[in-house]
Amino acid sequence: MPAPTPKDSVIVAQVLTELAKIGTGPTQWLTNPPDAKEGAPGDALDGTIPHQIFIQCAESALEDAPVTATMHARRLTVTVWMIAQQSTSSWAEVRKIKADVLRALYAAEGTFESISLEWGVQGYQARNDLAPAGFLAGSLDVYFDYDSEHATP
Amino acid sequence: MTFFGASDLPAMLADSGVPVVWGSVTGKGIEDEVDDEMLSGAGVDFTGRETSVVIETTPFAGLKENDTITVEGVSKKVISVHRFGDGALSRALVRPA
Repeated sequence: MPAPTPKDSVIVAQVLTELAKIGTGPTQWLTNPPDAKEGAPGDALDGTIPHQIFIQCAESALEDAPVTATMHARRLTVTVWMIAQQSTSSWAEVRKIKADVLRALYAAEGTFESISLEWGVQGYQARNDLAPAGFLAGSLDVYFDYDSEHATP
Repeated sequence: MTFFGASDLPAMLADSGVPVVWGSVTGKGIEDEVDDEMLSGAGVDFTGRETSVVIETTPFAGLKENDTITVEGVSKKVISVHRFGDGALSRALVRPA
């Protein structure tokens, strides 16, 4: 029997699945980015894509007390990076991506609750570091609390 | 404003520059394209391609963000224009129009 998939990877995969729904189906989306990817591209960002989303498993922290002798509480933080081509309204474009990301994540509330004890979206941070390359960006941290069994983390 | 040695700049740019057109203004500029890690977070570094063109400040006075210029026949949008050195030259960051 193969070893079970690490819990963090299950959650990251589910986040990617939910974000891939942006721009598809009957929902009125504000943006139509390519499917979100984990990590950053090795090459320079593609300047021809108006909206882009990347995620990163930013932190997996041990919470204070063990739940049982064989189980600990953990918090996984996934950072969602939202990047918009610079234009006269580019901050608004970043906020459009943020709105779509929130819409996609909250639509999956039940799914996330089935794979974690509690989840939530923390603060949005605007980033202009990519402005010299013609992009503006923002990040959102999404946390997932779960009990990690020592035998199958 | 008169810059020391400004009369040498057209010859310098003519030697290694590419045609730059802004409305009725034409001149030569030195274009650069550099990939640089610009945005970092926990475990990720995003690389952006920074494209710039160095131009004489005086003929291109008034060039500003969101103006359209043509660099070597390609239309670009200006991201920002900053003077450097003594101000005789300016560096315009540009993106695809």
